[in-house]
Amino acid sequence: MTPGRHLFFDGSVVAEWGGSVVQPLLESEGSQEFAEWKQELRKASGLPRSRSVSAVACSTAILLRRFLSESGMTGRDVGLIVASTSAAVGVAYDFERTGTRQGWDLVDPFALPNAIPSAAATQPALAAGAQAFAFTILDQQAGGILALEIAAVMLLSERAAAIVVVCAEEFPVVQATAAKACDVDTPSSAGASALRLIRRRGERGDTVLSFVFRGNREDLQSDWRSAPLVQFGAAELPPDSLSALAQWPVVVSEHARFLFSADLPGGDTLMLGFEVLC
Amino acid sequence: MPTLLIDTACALTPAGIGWDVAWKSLLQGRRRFVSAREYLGERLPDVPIAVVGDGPLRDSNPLGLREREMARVLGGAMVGPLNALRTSSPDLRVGCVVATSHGESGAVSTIVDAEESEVSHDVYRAVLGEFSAQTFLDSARQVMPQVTVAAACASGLHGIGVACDFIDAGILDACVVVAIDAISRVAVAGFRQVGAASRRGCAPFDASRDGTTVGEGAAAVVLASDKVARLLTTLGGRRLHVRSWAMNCVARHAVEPSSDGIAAVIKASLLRADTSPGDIDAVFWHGTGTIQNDAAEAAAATSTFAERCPPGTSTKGVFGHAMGASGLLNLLAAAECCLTGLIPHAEGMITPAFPGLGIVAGQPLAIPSPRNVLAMSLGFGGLNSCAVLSRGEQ
Repeated sequence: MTPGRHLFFDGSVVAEWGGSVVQPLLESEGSQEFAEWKQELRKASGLPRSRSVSAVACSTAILLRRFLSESGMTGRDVGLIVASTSAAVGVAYDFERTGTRQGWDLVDPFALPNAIPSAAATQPALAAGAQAFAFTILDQQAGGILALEIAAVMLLSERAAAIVVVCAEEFPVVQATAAKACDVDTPSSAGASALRLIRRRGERGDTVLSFVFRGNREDLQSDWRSAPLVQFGAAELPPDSLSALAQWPVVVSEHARFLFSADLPGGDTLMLGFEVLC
Repeated sequence: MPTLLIDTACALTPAGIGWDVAWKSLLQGRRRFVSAREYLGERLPDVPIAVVGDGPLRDSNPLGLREREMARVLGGAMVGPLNALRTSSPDLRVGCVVATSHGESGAVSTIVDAEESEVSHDVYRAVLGEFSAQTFLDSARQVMPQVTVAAACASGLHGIGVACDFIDAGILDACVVVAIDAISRVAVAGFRQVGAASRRGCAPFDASRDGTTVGEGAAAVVLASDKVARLLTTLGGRRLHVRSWAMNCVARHAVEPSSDGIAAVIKASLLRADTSPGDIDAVFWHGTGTIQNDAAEAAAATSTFAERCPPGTSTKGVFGHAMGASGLLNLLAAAECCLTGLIPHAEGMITPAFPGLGIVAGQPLAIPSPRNVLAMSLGFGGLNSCAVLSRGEQ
């Protein structure tokens, strides 16, 4: 059996809840805040005439800007990782549908940069000035916890001073149609939730990332085996990752230590251990 | 410092199937572009595109689940190297990083074109987020953890970077990196709509360049920790160190690169490699052939190398712009250059737009014993990636 691997952080990475933005469904994005953010994203990306801004990009931008505002950090050393499997699907579908039915002259000329999944990260990063890096993870249910693992490893590699990890889904019509056709449940939530990982020494009351673990569950260090578990990947549809992350405020208020967990292909379990310093 | 096992590399490119064939095509400047309208249908702009039209993909529907088909073919080609990796040491912790810009675009195209009743569950599953990683691993007969990274056209180098960080952190001993993007209607029409598509075939760094040639491609290669690589004696003897990797997200425009951002990422990569601009012997630029890209890279080169710019090239005159796969193809070509001392010319460039940039013209250039070679990759949204490859100890 391949031995498990722990990566310990020794209290040097603080985890903070970054808030949630709920109800940015593409079909009902009527809020004033979203309208303003759409405009801001267009301007910031140099595309004021663009019509294609995803709800995922809007909600991510809100959460990223909130972090920069609250932390007082400049964006230079801030990275952004978005876990989403729906960010570009709606834009791509509208682009192709309009182009093939009505002609390419009628499509949004700047749909392309928004029709690829990374736009969910790069547009908010450009708007907020987060310059360390920005990219998207596409791994459905496990996307959120994989994004957190990558963020932790990248902090260790000193690629940023802080990383905002956002799980965001919008579930456009074409995905709803697909879900119905595949006879899978409609997702229970859409929107975005964020967790911030910051490279600084944790103090009393801070929640810190204790370790990242990959291996067999039995290889987990014994004093953590009974810690409460937030499971990523329990549901069949992409927003499950979002739902799992959104449990953070409740879990952190009720437990001094807890685990984010997902079962990976090949029999491995991925676990991230968090604890509140006292 | 992870080791790139170049003999494990496999590629599907418009210039040939198999990495050795693709590399020879680069040296020969052999390209084959086709009409988008003829290949993808009348409803598209009539611009040249670069497609993997031969071999096992000859009958693949260009507007179907083509990325998945490419992943299947690539996975089949990687059975040998990955089996050798697994059997060399059963205790190795191995993972898979897949890098893509668009994901499975063909699923959306299929739904747009078809009536609801004609759409297969495979297509719907792809729309719900089933990407090609699992297809690759199934075809390669492997079971291992995977992650799919999307960083626009910089995805390939981002994927390499994520794998390097996992290996350096000790989470993985080895990692297969797969970069893949299939031609799609969104890509062809989209590049045309933003004014980035060439009408006559891309000519990187040429004075009369008029855009890029959108294409497709896929590549895979194995990285391992230095310690583990020494044990992998059955995976070929040609190895290089990925001495550093850096990235950033710096731009003032979603589709126009920033020379400041490019210069910054090169500087960061050199710093991490503990080396200086004078130690770089060749550069594989992103070199798409668009007015803005090539000018931004030239300005960044001036800022970085001043008057002593090392010889440079672009692989896109032969491969076209393979989007999310282009960064890995660039890295593989940089690796060959580092090992063989040959830097391919930038096919399509007749009159250099930036004479001080040192872009190789007409035929490959021999570089005596290159030490460090730099590979670039840029993407929409201000994404910049850079890696330094080094011969190190052989």
